[in-house]
Amino acid sequence: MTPAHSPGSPGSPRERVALAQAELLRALVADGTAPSGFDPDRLALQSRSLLAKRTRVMAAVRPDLAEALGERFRDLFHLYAKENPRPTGTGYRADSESFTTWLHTHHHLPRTPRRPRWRWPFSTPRTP
Amino acid sequence: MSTIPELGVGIGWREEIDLTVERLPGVDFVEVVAENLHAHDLPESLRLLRERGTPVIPHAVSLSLGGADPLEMSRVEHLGAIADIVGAPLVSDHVAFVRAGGLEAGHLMPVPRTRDALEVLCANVKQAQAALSVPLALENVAALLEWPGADLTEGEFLAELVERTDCWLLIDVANLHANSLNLGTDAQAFLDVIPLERLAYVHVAGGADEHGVYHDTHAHAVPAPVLELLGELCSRVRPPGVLLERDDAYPTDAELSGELASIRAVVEASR
Amino acid sequence: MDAMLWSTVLVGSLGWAFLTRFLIQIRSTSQYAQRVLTPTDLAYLAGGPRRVVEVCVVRLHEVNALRLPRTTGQFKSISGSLWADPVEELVLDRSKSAISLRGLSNWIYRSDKVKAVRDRLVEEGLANGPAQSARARRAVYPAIVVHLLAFVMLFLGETDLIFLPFFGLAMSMILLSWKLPLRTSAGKRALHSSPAVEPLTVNAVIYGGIGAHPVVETRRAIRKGSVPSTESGAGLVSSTCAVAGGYSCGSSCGSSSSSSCGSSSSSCGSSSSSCGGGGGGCGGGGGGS
Repeated sequence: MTPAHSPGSPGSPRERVALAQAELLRALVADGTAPSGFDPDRLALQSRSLLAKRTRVMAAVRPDLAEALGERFRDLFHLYAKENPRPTGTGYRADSESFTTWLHTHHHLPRTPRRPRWRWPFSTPRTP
Repeated sequence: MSTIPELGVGIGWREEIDLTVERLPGVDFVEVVAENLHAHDLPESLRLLRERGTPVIPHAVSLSLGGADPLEMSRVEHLGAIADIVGAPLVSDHVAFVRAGGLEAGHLMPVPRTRDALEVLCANVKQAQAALSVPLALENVAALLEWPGADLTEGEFLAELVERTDCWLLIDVANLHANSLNLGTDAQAFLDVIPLERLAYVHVAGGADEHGVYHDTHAHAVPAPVLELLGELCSRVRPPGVLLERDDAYPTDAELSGELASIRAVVEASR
Repeated sequence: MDAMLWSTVLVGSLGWAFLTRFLIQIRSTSQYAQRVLTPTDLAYLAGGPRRVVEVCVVRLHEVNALRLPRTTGQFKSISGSLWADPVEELVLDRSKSAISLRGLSNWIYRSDKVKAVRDRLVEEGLANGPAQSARARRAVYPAIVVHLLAFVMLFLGETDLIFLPFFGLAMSMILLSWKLPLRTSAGKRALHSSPAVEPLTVNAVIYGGIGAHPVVETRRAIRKGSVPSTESGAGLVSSTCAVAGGYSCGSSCGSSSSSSCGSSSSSCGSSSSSCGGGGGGCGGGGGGS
């Protein structure tokens, strides 16, 4: 039984609910252990689902990253997400910046963008 | 006691389909995600809708009213500011928590249906209501997991929430359908027990089955059982408004128009 | 050397360069007469590769295969839409996530599909391509060589022609940097003798570019989409991040520069949650994809 369900456990209702919710969330998005009383399959499903959603949002916020990483995008983001649950108040934009930094630090992406090729000015017909 | 005006049939305004929403026939009202807007810079599309007299309902997703963390008043104030600027008849959020223990969930998480959690939720709702100048409606969410040790059913939980806070209800029949499939929630019993006279409006959305689990995607067509649940609800009460939510994989204008027409047909068949 | 001969060589070399250019420009085949030019052909002849992309985008928008919201000004394809042309296929593919017209154009105007439009027109003698440019350029090289030689002779005192080398070299340089027109004389005739394309919106864009789109709302939306979000003043750029109804984040966030999302505390940036949208697993989440 989690503290939220034991009226006799110490603290205010808010404290008890806080403990239970924090425990659940840690298990779902961080490396917390599964709280007792929950169906482990459902916990796993919810956890995957949250990760899938975070991945989709990241791909939508940074289509350029998704494109640059191609098929590696999902696996790399999952790796990153497991190590980096989103702290309270962190938006998706900040999450994307953190992911970019993580990619650079772990050498999954070159730090400098490619420079555009220099083009011979006379080689193409003029366009009006 | 405040009342909810007649809203009709509406659709969730999203910037991706702004012109579609403006042009679709039979859009009586719209709902906007409050977190997506800046009070000082309303999109032109919404200004036009307001000029036409279309009601706009700000819908929040981040208040975390069911969360044990102290309510972030800046979020409530933002919701209130958006409500003021669009002249909203009411605002809404969910019976859910989205952050706890210093972490963001990234989605609407169900709250435990315990007396403790109800106490926390009611306190948060009252605090939010005190800061808002319009009625607040709260929505049932779709859950993938069930908290252990529930003291109340989902319907009882909502009924008691309404009784203690005098809030309004936003019933999402797609979420109810999802819960009945995924968690075995008794939809009939749910509808029997919630105070239907406090129904502000209804959400309808599409979803899809995947590996035996129903996902409320808002990216698929509205399935027949969801419309049937809407019909069931409408046979008990005439909802002030019914709103179609679509958040991705936006189909053609014609398809959206067709979904609105189906919803209207269900609503009118029950009158 | 005889001044007369020198003058002839110098002037002749320039004449060769001019003549080559002229011949390229008036070259003609009768091939094109056998077919009706497509809107993409006309777009290329009228405005070049970027115009081709613009016309394809406008056509797709006209048939409701692409959606253009006024709030973001970014095109997004409607799933299941059909294309009538290889460039259109590319446009639909690229606009699966929201993208501005400028973005689309940058992606596509140098693609093989657009090059294929050009190559066919070049083959039919209606347009000039890189091969024609190279030919025109090569025709200037003899003039440069003989004029440089004339300079050397001038310094060595072998000739008293002073004006001609200066003038000729200047002319050569001008010729070298003077790009060939996009279309040949035949191309110009074909363009102007083509019947109007339906719908007239597409016709207007073929001949006048996106700025000639007759619908003000569309022109404004496109302009808005091409302005970096930080300048557009659209508070909304952040938008659907918060919603995160699963996907919806697509457009606005993706395209907008760093701005908005992270910064605005009350709204987007911080909002973790999600809209009613997508119960936990919005679209395929459940499988833990």
